[in-house]
Amino acid sequence: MPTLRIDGKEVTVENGTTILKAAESIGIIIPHFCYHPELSIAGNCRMCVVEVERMPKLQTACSTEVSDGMVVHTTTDRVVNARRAIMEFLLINHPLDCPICDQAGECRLQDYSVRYGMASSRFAEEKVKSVKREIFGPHVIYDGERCIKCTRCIRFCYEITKTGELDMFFRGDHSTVGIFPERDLKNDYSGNVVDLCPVGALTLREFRFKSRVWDLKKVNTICPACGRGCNIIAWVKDNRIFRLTPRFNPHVNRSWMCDHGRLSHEFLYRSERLVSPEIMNAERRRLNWKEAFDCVTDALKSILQNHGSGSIHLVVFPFITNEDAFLILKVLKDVFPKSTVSIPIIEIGEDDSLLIRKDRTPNRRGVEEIFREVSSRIISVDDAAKRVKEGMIKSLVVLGEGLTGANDCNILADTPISPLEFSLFIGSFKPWNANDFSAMLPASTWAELDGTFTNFEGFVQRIFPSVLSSCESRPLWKIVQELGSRIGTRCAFRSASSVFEKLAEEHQSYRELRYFSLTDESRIKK
Amino acid sequence: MELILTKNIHKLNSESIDVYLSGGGYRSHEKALKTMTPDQVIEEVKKSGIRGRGGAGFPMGGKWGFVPKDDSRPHYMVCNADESEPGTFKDRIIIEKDPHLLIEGIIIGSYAIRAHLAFIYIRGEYVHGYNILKKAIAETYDKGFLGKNILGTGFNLDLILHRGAGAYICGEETALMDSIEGKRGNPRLKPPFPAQIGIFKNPTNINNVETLANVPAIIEKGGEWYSKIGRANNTGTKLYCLSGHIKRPGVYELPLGIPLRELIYNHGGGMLQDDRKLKAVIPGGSSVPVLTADQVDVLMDFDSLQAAGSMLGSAGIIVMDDSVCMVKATHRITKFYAHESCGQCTPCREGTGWMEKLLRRMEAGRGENGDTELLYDVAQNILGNTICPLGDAAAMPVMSFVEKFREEFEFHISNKRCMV
Ligand code: SF4
Ligand code: SF4
Ligand code: SF4
Ligand code: FES
Repeated sequence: MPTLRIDGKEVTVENGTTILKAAESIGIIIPHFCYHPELSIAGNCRMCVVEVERMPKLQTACSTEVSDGMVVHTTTDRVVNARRAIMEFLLINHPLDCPICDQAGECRLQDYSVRYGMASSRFAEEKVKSVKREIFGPHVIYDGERCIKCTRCIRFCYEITKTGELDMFFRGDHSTVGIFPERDLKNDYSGNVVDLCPVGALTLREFRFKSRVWDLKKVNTICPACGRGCNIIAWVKDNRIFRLTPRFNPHVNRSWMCDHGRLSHEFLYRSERLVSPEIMNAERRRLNWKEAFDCVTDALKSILQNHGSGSIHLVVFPFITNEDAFLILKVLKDVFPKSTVSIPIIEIGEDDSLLIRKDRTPNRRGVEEIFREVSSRIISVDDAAKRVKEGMIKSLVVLGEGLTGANDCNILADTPISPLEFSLFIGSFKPWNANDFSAMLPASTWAELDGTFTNFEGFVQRIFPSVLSSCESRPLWKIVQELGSRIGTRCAFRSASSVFEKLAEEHQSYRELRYFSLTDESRIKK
Repeated sequence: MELILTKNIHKLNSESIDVYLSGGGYRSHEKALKTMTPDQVIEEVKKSGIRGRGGAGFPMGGKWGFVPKDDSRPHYMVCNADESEPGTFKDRIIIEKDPHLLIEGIIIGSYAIRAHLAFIYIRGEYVHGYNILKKAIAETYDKGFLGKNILGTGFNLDLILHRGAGAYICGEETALMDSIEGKRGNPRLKPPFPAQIGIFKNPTNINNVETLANVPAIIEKGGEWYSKIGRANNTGTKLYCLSGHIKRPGVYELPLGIPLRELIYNHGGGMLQDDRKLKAVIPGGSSVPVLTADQVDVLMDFDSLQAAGSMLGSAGIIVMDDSVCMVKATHRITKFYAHESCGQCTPCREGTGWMEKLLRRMEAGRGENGDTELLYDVAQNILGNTICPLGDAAAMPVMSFVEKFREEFEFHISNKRCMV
């Protein structure tokens, strides 16, 4: 393993490590545009140049591999002047439209200008004109004048999605990124090129001109839109999510997320929210929580008395958190000992080779794991529907959202629920046949919650509240806990973390996991 | 002096295989394939001391030796016939007048580096040369000098003729490899070098036309014999391309190390117009630093020109008399490189365009005080900071013209017209 000196600090690294990575490992960050750890090395921006003793030319740190005894300087006058020159070159044909550029605030040109820029430009010629708002695909728009030709976006499409929609066209200072005729940038991961673009050349249609990034608050959380559970950042302002971007996790999603997940927050604002408890008797009525709990408890108690818990069936959508599932399990064990359960399958398309899972729910693995204790009582949605029709099921409790149009949801949608004696829905958005449910209780959305999801590979990941609930909703587990305790369970958890601690204590696979010390690598035991 | 590269070109139908054979052609490749091992061929070439004629002047024997020997991957031999440097037209003579000399050199070279597939990458504009090579390759296959089991020796070699599409940058060896692979011709980062990772990630050796055309003579008469021509470390004959304000422009084969003055005044016949004085000479194609009239006693070889602050390059000698405006000349050269920059790396992409616009403005009489310094500074910021040598090729002439003719640039700015 070679040992070298960088700015006087000694470091030993693996063979084949580049100077840039070696420097990074000891906290020396070398400025760069084109280099990206997930992509091949292009070495084209020349921003990362450093001085290496006994090498006459400056070397690009991103592409030069270290060797034993190397002596590297990253801040000499020569290096700083070269970087200054690169900054000047990059800016001569740049429109400098920061005031209207979405990238402002997270733009490398801006950031490095502060360090290496000059106050005024020596460039007195006419700038090169280029395309201003070329539509690359459904989500991505290109500005050729802002582009610094780092080819990150191009390499992403060749190397990560392997779809190759983008390439460089023309030569010299007329070079421009473009799409091939009739091959729009519409792969399932197109939004990532926007994150990759170090400047404002690629913008996301759904986020363009919506907000300045420094006005947004960042919340680390998990994508709710499939079994992968990509690590993401929710960007929030005025109690609203403006965009979702991927967050690096080497075990789950590396640096990427899919377009479907990237836009999953739009669902929060497009669908009709259940804002307060509703009861259907003679007419539809909104109630406060106390009245609602009274009503629902009475109804459930009378079903239990008249028909026993075997007549109650639970439909648990795996959109819920582990904490929600754990409380449902408690109720199943303590007060509904004969009830049956189904966990609907919600699949679209196929698993792909990158991230997307056909299972569009974020917590199937977690819910199934927790319900393993009552596995003999789990029946398919199909069977449940039959039992409803045959009159064996008198009461249905639906927890979490459905997704109309997908597999088991269709079966449920076709199952008449008005003939049932009692039907209860607990979720955030009005279900497919909202008017038929006897009672509906509003639960908080994924964006408003603390809790955990377990991804398809068993990684247990925390979600964080990005926004406050704007209605009367409560976390689903709290609603279930309240109903349970009114009927006969005994638990009084006060926070998602305490639910999780109990889960870890009682459940073999979650053993040893601690809510506040979950890491990138925390996963359930097989 | 014995001619090596141009000995056949005056013959009638010199491009046909029969004329080439009757002059003793294809004897060297028989000698190499039948009586020498690949390593012996490389040794002989090393002994000759020949340095690459493409511009960089790297010893060819050494370059051949870089191709890994214990490697199961296929090896490729490439002849770079993408001759596009302004002022350069020497490879063209060989391609059009003596294609078999080149093909014989390629066969021997391929044998030496254990390649079974060779390419000639020819400049798209060389249509005539392309047609001639196409015919010559077909003739060579017919005679059994290419293809399977050449001369019964068990050595197989196929030769593919690949036409470029008009980009100067494809003459840069790594861009050329991308182009052969069917991609846009962009220079690659080095390392890795082509000898390790070349075309389709296999070991590849790339040589200029003129270099390879020397190989048959080296094998026939020995490296020792060759090394006596020219000067120490600068052996062999060279094709010099004379152009510009000169009486007899053209290609001249003469030993390396001949004085530039002799080339211009004896062989080239002196200045085109007797009443005009020599002002400047570009000795190695438009990318190398310019020489002033009082530097013409320099010897035309790699080391002497380097010592004089310029380069032998492609030996494209452009002679300029005192009617030439140096601002205009610089602009013309810069325009070429700005147009041909592939656009990959920042300094070259942005800098060449900037220099071109600056010079255009100066030439048009709209220069401002300080523009000369700015121009020089921009060139300096490009120099040595790019992926491939094109950046340097664009910066070096600008810097040398400014250094040597600064007063003309200043005159242009203050008087808004040419000094000449
Ligand atoms: S669009 Fe952005 S990512 Fe793509 S080459 Fe231009 S600057 Fe780089
Ligand atoms: S792959 Fe799945 S988890 Fe990842 S962003 Fe897409 S929908 Fe979300
Ligand atoms: S120096 Fe110029 S030609 Fe060479 S890679 Fe860079 S931009 Fe392309
Ligand atoms: S980061 Fe090294 S050249 Fe761009």
